[in-house]
This record gives sequence, structure tokens and C-alpha cells, in this order.
Amino acid sequence: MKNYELLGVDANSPEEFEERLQDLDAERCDVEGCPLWTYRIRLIQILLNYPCWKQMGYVEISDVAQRLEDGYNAVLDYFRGDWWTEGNIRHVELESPELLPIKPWLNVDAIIKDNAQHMDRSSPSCMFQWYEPLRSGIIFGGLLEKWDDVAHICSALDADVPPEYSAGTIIDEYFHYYLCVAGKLSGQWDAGFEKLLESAKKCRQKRLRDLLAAWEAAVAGDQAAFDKAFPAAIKSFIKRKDDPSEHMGAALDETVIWLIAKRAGLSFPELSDKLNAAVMTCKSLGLDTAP
Amino acid sequence: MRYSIHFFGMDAAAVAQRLRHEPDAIAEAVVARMTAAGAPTEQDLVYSRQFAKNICAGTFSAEDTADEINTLCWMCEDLAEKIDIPEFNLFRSLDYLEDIGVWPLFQLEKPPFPVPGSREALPQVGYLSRSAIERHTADEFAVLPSCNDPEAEDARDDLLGIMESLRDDQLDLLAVLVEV
Repeated sequence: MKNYELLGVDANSPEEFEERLQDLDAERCDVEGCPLWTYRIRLIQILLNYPCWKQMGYVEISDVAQRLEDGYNAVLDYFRGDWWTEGNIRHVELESPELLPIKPWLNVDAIIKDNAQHMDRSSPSCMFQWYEPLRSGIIFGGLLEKWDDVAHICSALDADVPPEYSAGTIIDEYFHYYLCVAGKLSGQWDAGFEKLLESAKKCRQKRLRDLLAAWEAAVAGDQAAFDKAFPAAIKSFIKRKDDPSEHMGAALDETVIWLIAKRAGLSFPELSDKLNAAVMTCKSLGLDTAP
Repeated sequence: MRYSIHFFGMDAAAVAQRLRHEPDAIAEAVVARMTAAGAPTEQDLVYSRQFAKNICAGTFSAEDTADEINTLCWMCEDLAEKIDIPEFNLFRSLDYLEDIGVWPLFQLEKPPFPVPGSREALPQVGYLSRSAIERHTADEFAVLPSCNDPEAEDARDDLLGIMESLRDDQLDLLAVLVEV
């Protein structure tokens, strides 16, 4: 059985994925290089689709390692690049205007303003979207075992980064948890992260408590605790219809936790095929013979 | 129209004691919280202070239920632990809440202190005592029929997980259903 079948994911005409892969490649070409923040986020999502589609068994992707590398570079540029600045947009306007998504309702000034509202973190009102790009970056870099590079991405975030606006769909403590993940991976853990971790641990939502237990076991390198907490986290993911961890059927939060556990020297626990199906590993993506 | 349920974990007996003995302090805490959260008008503060004292005394007006319940939420932010459950935020239809099926359970008991509103109209206040929480977590809402919408199932599961945590801490749960 394919992983999406094991997980009971409604793949919506899985036989059409070869065609969808071509569409995805075409969309990638459309958004690549565009210096507008929404396009940058979309590029990262597209690049994350490739390993997730392979994981689910929708389609075979032979060069997944290259696509992970491209994904990592897209995330690095998102956090560290100056592509969003007015100076860069003016430069692109002169040198390669075809990269700007000019529309009747979107001129160059509007692009500059929109970018500043979402990327200029020196502004207190900045609506910086960081958690999905961060999680994607950890997955891309972690699967390639480029942990120094992951640390470089994570160090773009400190404990003062505000939770994203989610219209009440995601609790603040979930964002706090991801900042803690970044804090540990960057090696810049401080009292601010400690405070966020305390806040996340007080959360009464079982789903987040399950994730925290698995992550803490991974960070501590505690195999026995991990063997217990990691399957529980995957089970709570599978039980849910709608979860922020889910992308194309794959469990992204659990994938992050596994990669951190692997880095800490832990072994992948014995899991049922169904639980295995949700988590991307080096082995499941054909990058290595071990998870 | 959108609806939300605001949840507050609390030791309801201790809250009842405070309402009886500290009405002035509670009213001032409401005013301080409202001021810190935004820029309320002086009139808003005057009314809210009075509503808080009315709630403490158990005297309610038929015309001001929405404002009284709004003030109750401010009071609970100070007296209790606000618990965010995303599945109960900003839902569009009361049919969704009906599908989740838990709201009638919140209407079987009354908290040990007076609350504004009625069971007939929105906004409404609901309550689960620790003994009810103990019972529902033990049988995992066995009294409820299956949900039609899988997302309603998520909402029910999330609430159950939170109730397990409240059970472990021996707390009660107040819920305020409002139009937003």
C-alpha cells in the first residue's frame, strides 16, 4: 500500500499526480526569483511539496535531494536575504522587470510597501511570517544533515519574535514551541527561550503537550522517553482531521522532531506501517538506507 | 455571523468566595485590564466597573446581558485561567456547535456564583464542574453521538484533552458562548 492509502488521505485522483508534478514545476518557474514575500513563501511551499508527495507515494521524484537543497536555499534567502528591500526592488525594476508580478492593482510601490509590512522586522507592526518557512528549513536542512546551515537559519529568530496572526486558528503556545525549537538548534538558547518553553509547557492542549514531550525527549537524547512520546505524537497527528503539522498528508512537526532526535543519536522507534507513513525520514525519501 | 466560546479554567468555589468578598478589587482589576488592552472610553470604564460589581452581587439587568457577559469575561481573565481552543473560535454556524455536541453538557449545571444571561438567548454562559469533567473524561463523551463533520470531531477531542488536564489539576470549566 502507498503511504497515503495507509493514512487514509483523500488523494483526489492520485493517478493524475504525474501531470500535477509538471504543473508544480511550472508554478515553481513562475514564482522563482520574484521579490515579493508571498511568492517567496509560495516557493518554499512548492519545494516542500516534492518530498511530501514522494513520502505519500503520489509520484516518484528521482532528484529529491536537489529539491531539498533548493528548498534550503529558498528558506535561507527568505530569512537572510535582502531581496525584499526597496533598493533591491528598484534594482529588479531596472534590470529584470519581468520578475515583478505587476498587476493593475499591484505596482512597484505597492510591492515595496507590502514587502516592508511583512519583512521589515525593525518595524514594531511588522507581520513577519516565520513559522512555516522555519519548519520547512529545518526539514530541508535536517534531511540533508546540514545542521550548521539549519543553525544559521534558526539564528535569524530570537525569543522576542511575536506569534503570527492566525485569526485564532493556532494557539500562541504553538508558536512559542517553534521558537524554542529554533533556539535549541541555533545554539542561542537564553532566558527568553526558557520563558517561552515554560509558557508552552503550561498549555493544556493535548496535541501540543504530545509534541513537547517528544521534542524534549529528542533534545535530551532520551531513547526510552522518545520511544514512548514519539509514537504518541504521531498518533495524535493521525487522529486529527485538520492540524497545523499536516502538509500534503505528511506530519511536518513529527518529521522535525525525528530529525532532531536523529541528530542527537537516537534510533527510530519500531512503529506500525501507518505511523511510519506520516513521518519523512532519509530512508523513506531514498536519501539513505537508515531513517 | 460568527460565534466563539471563551473558556476559563478555575477553582469555581474560590472564585465564588472572591466575588462575595472582593467586589471593589475585582471591578478595579477589570478596569485595569481593559485599559491595558486598549483605549476604552471613560464611559466604558464606568459601566464596566458597575457591571463587575453587579455580577459580584448577582444583580443583572435584562437589557445589558451582552455587556455584562463581556465584563464577566474580563473578570475571568483576572480570576481564572483563559484557555484558548482554536476549534471553538470564530465558527460560522451554530449547527457546527450542535455537531460537536458538547454545549448541552455545559448547560446541565450552574457555577457556584451568579452569572448573567439565560439559556434561551445568546450570549450564554455554560459550566462544567470538576465532577462532571471527571465523568466525561472517564467515558470520553460516551453520552454524545458521533459527529458528522470530522473537524467537529477534532474540536471534541481537543476539548477532551483540555478537560483531562483540568481534571488532573482539579479545576472547573466556565464557557462563554458569544456572537463576535
